[in-house]
Amino acid sequence: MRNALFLFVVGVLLLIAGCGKAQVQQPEGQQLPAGQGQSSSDQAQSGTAAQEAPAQPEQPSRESDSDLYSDGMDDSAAEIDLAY
Amino acid sequence: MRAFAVVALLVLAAAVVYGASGPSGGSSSSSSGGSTTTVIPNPNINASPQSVQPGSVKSVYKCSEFTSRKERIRCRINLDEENEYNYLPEECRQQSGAARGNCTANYKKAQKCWVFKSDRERFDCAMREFALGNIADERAECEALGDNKSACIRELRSKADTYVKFKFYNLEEKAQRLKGKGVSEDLVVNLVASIEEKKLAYNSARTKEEKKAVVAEVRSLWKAFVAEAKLQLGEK
Repeated sequence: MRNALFLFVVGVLLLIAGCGKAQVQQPEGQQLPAGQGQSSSDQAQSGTAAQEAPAQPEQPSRESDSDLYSDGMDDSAAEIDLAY
Repeated sequence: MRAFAVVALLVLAAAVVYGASGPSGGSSSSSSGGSTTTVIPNPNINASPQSVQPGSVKSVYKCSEFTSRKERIRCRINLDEENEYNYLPEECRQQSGAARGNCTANYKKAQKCWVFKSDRERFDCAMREFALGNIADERAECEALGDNKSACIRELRSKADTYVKFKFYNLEEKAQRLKGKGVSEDLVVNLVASIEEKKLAYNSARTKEEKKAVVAEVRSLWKAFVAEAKLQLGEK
């Protein structure tokens, strides 16, 4: 009876350990996006770096209506003259 | 009691087997030396225009099922922005082989410049993408090569022509933005189709005077388009 109980408890513990391993395992070869995949302690250690704002892409300026209606080709004839 | 022991052993065996094999996902995996490599499907589903073989255009490019230029253009201007990359430019459609590859490559480079909202920024971007510096300076550098200047000047002219046609293309993009403001689709389609014809005329022009004449025609087309667009938008 004791042996059976012992084996049952060991089996359940191993089963729990197996499930836990299955959830934690990450396939290698995949790169997580920056900022992901860090544990809370990793993030805490990175300190100010974690608080720095990510680099913003260059913000294009707004196109004015006058620009929208302009053909922008005042220089084209001169450019052709220079190349030819 | 024995039955209980057998069940316990089965649970133990299952746990051991499961722990050894690990989880399996939807993507294919291979194991080697204890490490697991997951093969991720290539997310890049955009076909490269340069990989297109003659005869397969319809299966690769958007809007190629239409036989008339205007129909293709109408289809193209209604594409989502990201799908415009899968459209074979009308100018390149007239070419084949390496020339078509070069043509589509230039259009691909130009796509990076549409994030900018002013002419000046887009033109600067195009010059960078086409590796075109100050034209006067580049011409002087070519002239300094003496007898070997021919190839240098030929390349400069090619880049300058691509840049001038980018300015034509810029007007097509502006027309599409005006369509977003309420200008009719027909007006935009007609302008784009006319400009595409002018690109071909520019390529066929043999002298700089002929090229400059094409530029003047494009400017006239744009002027007429803007006048009509403003009427449609109720602007002066």
